[in-house]
Amino acid sequence: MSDDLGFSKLLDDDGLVARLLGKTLKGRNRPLLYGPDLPVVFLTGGPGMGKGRLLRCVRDEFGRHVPAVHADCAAPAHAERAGQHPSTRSEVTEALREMAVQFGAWGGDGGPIAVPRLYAGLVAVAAGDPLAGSATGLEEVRRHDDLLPRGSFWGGVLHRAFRHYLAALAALLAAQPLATPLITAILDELFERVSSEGKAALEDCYGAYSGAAGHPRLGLHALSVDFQQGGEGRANAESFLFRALREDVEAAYASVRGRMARAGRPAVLLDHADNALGRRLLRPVLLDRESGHHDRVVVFATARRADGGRFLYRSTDADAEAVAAWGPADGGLPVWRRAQGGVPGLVAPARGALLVRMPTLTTEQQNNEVARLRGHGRGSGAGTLGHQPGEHASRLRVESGIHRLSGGRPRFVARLGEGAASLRVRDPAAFTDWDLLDAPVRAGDEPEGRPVPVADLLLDDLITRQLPEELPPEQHDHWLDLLGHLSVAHTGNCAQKLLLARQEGRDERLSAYRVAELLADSGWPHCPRHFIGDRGLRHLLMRRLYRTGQHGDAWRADHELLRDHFAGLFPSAPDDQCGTAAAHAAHHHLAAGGVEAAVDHLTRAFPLRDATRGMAEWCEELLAIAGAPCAVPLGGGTDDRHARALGEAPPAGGDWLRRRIDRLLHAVWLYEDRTRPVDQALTGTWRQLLDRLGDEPVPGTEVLTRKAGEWAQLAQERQPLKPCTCTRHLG
Amino acid sequence: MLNWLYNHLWATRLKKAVTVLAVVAVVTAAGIVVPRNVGGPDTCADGVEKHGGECIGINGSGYDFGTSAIGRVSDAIAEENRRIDGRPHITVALMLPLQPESDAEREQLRSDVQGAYLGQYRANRAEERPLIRLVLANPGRNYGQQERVVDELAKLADSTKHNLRAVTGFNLSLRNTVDAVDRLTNELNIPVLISRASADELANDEGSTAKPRFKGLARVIPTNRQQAEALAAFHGGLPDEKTVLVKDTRPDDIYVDSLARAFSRDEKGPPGAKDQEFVSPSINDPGETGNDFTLIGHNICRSPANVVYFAGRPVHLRLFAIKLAEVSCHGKRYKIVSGSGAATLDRYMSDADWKKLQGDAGAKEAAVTVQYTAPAHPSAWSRELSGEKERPAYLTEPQEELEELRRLAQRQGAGDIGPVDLDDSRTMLVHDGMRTIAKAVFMANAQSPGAVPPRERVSAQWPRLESAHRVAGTSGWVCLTNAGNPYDKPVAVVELDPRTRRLAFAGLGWPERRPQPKDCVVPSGTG
Repeated sequence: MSDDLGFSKLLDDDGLVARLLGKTLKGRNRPLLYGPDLPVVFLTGGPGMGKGRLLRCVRDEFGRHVPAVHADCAAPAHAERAGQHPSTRSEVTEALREMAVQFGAWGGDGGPIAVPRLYAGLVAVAAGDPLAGSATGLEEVRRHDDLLPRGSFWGGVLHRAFRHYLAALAALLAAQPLATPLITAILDELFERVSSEGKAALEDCYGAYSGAAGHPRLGLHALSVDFQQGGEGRANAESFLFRALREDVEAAYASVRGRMARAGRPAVLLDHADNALGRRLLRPVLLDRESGHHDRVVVFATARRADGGRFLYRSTDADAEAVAAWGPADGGLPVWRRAQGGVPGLVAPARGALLVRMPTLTTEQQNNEVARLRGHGRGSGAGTLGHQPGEHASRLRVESGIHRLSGGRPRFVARLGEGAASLRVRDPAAFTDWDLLDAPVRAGDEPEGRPVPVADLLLDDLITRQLPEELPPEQHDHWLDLLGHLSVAHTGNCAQKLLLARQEGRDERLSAYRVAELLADSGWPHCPRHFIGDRGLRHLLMRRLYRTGQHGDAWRADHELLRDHFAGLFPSAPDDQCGTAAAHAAHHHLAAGGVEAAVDHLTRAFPLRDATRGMAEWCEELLAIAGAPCAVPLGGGTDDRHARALGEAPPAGGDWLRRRIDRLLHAVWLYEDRTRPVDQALTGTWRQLLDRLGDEPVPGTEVLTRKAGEWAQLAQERQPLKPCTCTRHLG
Repeated sequence: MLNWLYNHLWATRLKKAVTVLAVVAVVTAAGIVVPRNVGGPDTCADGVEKHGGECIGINGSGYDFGTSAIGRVSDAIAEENRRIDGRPHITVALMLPLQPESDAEREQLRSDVQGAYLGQYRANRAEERPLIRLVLANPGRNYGQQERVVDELAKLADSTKHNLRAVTGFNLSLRNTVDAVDRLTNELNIPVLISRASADELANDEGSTAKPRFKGLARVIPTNRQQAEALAAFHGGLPDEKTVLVKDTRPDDIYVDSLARAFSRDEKGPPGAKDQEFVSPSINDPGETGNDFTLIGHNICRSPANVVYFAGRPVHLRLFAIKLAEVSCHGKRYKIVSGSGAATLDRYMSDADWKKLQGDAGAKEAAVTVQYTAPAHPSAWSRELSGEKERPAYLTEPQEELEELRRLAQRQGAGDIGPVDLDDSRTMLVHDGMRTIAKAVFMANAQSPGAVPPRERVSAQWPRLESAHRVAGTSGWVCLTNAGNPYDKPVAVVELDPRTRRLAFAGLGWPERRPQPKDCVVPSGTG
């Protein structure tokens, strides 16, 4: 996958990133968007949407022209390092330290960005553990020596004062035991050596700490104590440290030298910012900016939830409107302005957030990427293979399969493209999406590894490696299995039934509603007709379910479980999905392989036989039942639906009506199964079949005629007969 | 590449500032260094460049050098030049300061250029070959930048397209003029014909043994000495005590020097008052000379002299005349005699000035009259011939020429060249110079192969222009001696009478004290 695939609108010269940072990819200056009050930019999108890739792109491309520090909030290193000295470190201090180091290493316009304020805070925190020995404490303090600003912060004497300070720190170690607590000694040394300019900076910053009353030394003491206190106190201290870092950066830009030598805005890129560390970093930024502490650091954070994260909202209902959301496909630039009024601290932090939806790939981008992966550009090989007969058809087939499965999700496209690259399609007409998912691929990081089906790799990428944060650890192993079972469910109720059955005997159980929440937290879309709202993911999970056990036993068992559940209900009980419980049962029966039962149900329910039913109702039922997934192509068996639809394979028996309904059901079933190419010859028979259903005098013949027209129209445009949220953008 | 430049030179304010400073420094340095070394001056017109605020150079395509008075005549020259373009022609340059500062000088300049043009016009219609192309060359104020122009003239002389064969003009007798003529003649071998400068330093000495100062120089105007001789001859033998010489001793003004020398001839009778000297700041600046003149006036009053020879420039002459008139001297009448430069005197005189010279209102004669030699006067020939029974050719031929010129000017046969005023003699002299050049060129062409004679052949014709090949000029016969001077060319003695305020022709003076010989054969011993 090329790094900036699909990001052209975001990254181009007048795109959002360039305008926020004030620099283009090539380093040209651009007028700054917003300011002085800046939103925190949340890149929202589910797994595989390229959020992290975009951040890396910004770091690599724009990072040449503006300082762009990148921190992965999910990186275990922060927790590891914090764990070594839990009393004087936390994940936040480690992340801040890492950012400060990156700012200090900036080598472009204006030179390194010094972080004296953050240094003072970190030193105060490091020296704050009253129980630690002075040697340990001093070691913690000396750990931050590399953050010490060299030169101007220490005023006139420059390096000499800097070295004196370091020497004084070393002397503290020699003078054991200390007469005063370590923190007092350290702060004494610090304030003694610091230049007037530095003192003013510290006073401005830590004088504002709660309880400091304008005295920076008191502020630093309080900060240290708060950190030690843990809980709310520590959160306060941490948020203040991030403010100190941002003030450092702001000062580097706002000084006379900064104004002259620096251009654009610095960026902080927080990957996986929807976890606890990310929230602890972002919340103070949002609150500070809400309360008027503006700085020019452009914060990009990734979030899987479409609304940016629950922590942004106070009460979901009232604040949902307040947040600015924008996607590159909307065109132009997002309009963001902090809403006026409200009490800082009480209003929703979402007011300071700008949600940027990650773009899906357009069909053209998908095709280009697939073509690239399939080896146009692999050299002469492609040329000699040339345009073999049928190659064009197979390419179109593969492209359409990728389009429908991926829904434009870049990771999906890339993986399927890799899979397709190694695929030889012999018969495009018989090629199904399931075949595409079976294509073998080597995992990118294991070039020598055994090729695995692309579907497994994708599940690994999208589910296993990105477990929901709140998923209890004991469920980690079952998570994928649970989702597999849920792939056959429609609503929460279906899902709940399945989960109850499949988690039997376990101590820790998840309810289907909780699973739905976790899926939403992971950024997966919701669909009213499918529990797994993303079509591509659903197919991955269905395939996995089918392959669990022998010959699709698990698949059949799940469908039969649901069939039995609905069959156990009163047949005409209303059902959200299929009209009646009986129809819903028939749907699952059909999916489980019970074709005859489904035809029987439809024959029985046809208004000619059941006068209580209306024709329109019956047609809806037909579509609902025909929406069932078909296991035959998955299992590799012979699919006789085509023959049955054309009346070439005789049905098991029954009268004329049953035979006609049998043909109709198979035709619609085949058409609605969008894992395979649409057979235009088949759609031509609809009108005839529907008309002939009305041969006998039956109420609602006009409905049949009208439906015949509507369906023919839809088929001509290759639209599904029963559209759904999760397929609407696919057609 | 562009991005690299942008990122290194323009990405931040600091870089912009440094870049702008560097560019400004480079541009400034270039602005200072380049014009000095490359000399990229402004251009006034084709072939004319701006140096020191003046338009210096050579132009024959109608540029008037910012002097609107010669606009029409320079257009006429351009038209004539265009007409002959493409046919065999030689180029003659008229070298004069073309950007004078006063209106009086501008009118004089117009007369000069008109004379040159009329000469060209007539020569080009004489059915002789080659034709003459006329260009105007501006050497700057007081010929200050003559070197540049001489360089350009040298190029024209070498160019087979332009074929510069003579340079004429030269209206001021200055050191720079001498340098220019020296270089043109001795170094570049370009024939030069001086038509208006009368200084002796701008002439070759007579005498067969003398080595000529300027190789290939000819003149059509008598030198100051010759004019003074003629003036002296006209006045007959005045006793020395009746005359006094007032002279300007400002260095480097050779006109004044030669005039002073001519007036210093020994005279008969008892000695008069000694020479009265003064120093003026410049040609046009009266400076503090007025006080000197009042004192000199007192001294002259006490002397028996009533004829004052004045060796000075017209500006000072005017002041002197006024001061002399102001000094009350028991009704003594003065006659101031000066050189041809005084011809421009009337242009400096105001009403009040005239009144002062007039003296007492009731007096019969004016207190001060000024008499000087004009190199020519339009009424000379008719006045000399009137009442004479004999009609010598030295009078009739110039008269005919003058009539022809007058007719041409009056009926605007040569196009609209502005008002033509023959009184100040400039038009006549410059015209005669052009005629002389044309004759020399035609004669040279007749003797050499090709359409255009070489430079040396042209200057070799100067001594031939006598006797049978004399040039009948409007200002008199031009018969050149071997030194290139006009032999015994008559000067008009004119008198400026304050009462009439007109220039009255007083008579002809002959430098040799007798009229030119028959057919203008230059006698042996003159060169």
